[in-house]
Amino acid sequence: MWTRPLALARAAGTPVVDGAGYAVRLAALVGEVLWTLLPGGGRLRPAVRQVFYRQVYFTGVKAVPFALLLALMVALVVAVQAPWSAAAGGEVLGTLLVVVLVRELGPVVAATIVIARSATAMAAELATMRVDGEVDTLAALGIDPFEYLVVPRLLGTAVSLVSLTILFLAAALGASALLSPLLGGPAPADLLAQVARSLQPADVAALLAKTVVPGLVIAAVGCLEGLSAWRSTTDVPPAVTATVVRAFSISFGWNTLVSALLYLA
Amino acid sequence: MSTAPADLADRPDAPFAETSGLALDHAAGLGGLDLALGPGEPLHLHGPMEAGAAVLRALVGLERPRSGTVRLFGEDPAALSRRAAASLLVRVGWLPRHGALLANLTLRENLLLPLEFHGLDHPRTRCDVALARFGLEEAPDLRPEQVGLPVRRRVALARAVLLEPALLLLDDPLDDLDEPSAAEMAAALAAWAREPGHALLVTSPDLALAAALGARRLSLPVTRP
Repeated sequence: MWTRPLALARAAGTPVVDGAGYAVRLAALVGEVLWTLLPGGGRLRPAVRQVFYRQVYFTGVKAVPFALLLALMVALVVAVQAPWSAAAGGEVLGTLLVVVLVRELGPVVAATIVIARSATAMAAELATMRVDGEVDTLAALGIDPFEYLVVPRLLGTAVSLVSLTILFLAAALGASALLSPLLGGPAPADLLAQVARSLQPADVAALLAKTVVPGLVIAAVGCLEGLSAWRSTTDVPPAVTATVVRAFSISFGWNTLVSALLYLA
Repeated sequence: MSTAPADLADRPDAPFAETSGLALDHAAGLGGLDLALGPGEPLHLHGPMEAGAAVLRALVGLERPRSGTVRLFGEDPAALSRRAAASLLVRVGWLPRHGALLANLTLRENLLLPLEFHGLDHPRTRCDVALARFGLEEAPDLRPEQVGLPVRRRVALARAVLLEPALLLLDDPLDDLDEPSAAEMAAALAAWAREPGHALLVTSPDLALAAALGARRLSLPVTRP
């Protein structure tokens, strides 16, 4: 009689337990990266710094054109609301830009770019290195793979995500301001003044929470999945797929949690 | 768990590499390997490739023994912290079967990496000396996939001896090499092994290699061919 409820409980409970276990592993990985930085006061060895710069270049700098393109498209979408907002009166468009762009869309779009371009590449690269024996060779040469491969990737991705989000927001707000008067909305200076008045200190804190933490976690997922590959190239595609699914789930889930806390507060 | 390796000077009599009753999974049923290797004695482990590779991996802490013990300079590398194991392994040169050069680095960068990571003085000069010593001056800025296997092997060997290790672990170093390249490689290894304070452990099914290196031979105790 208890067979069915037990099976249901197991079916519902297993993903929860697995998810909790994965969250603990991620938290441990991120914590270990921060712990590794402590002895040197945050300084990286020159060889590790090179990997960090490469990561920032690939994840941040090379993503700039794509981020700007998306910012322009988002600005167009927002600017076409100008006539409606003018009819509604007040500072609707400025408030809309803060609520939609700064609080929600900016971090999500930037995280999407980073997951699609970099986390996948990271997982594939590390999985291939693992399968080809490069990771073992590093360890055998006395080069700690964690310090050389994982630490700079997490830090580089976090720095890149924060920077890309700020760039995306600046470009989207600037383009919205320029397009607004063409579509019957307020003048650029007026619109930007509205945005400045709508922004609150909590928005800045939330923005940091929505970029620094996902930046670390997205890279941690890529590293964890990539380094989980074992002895065959067939391990590489599943590592990439798992990275996409998990990184999106966790970063979007985290952003939802921060938004909920922001509105509740 | 130990956290730091004892200094080599603390254990002057400890063999560089030592196993006792070593049994490993994934290694053609390897069981009960006893070996002790000190300076000045090249040793050739003869047996199936997979078993020899697993022994080398166990010696540097990449593979946990099913039973038995492993000691590298008197320490069990698998029991050390990551940082302590890294400082112990600086004394070891490692040449895996296919070289395992980092594919996203040039040949020069592959050599520079261990020098820069461990903060040695004048890394570029040391790198240039190694490139010249192993006849690699012509293609240092190419990536591994842009050069042939003999060149990749030479780079991997140059990288293995770059930090002036006391112990060199080689997994089938002449595999897939043409005859002139194999002879050249064997001569370079034999010269290295003859230098004082050096120990060399090579694993290969090729019996001629032991003769070329003047190495003592030890057959791996495997239960499956």
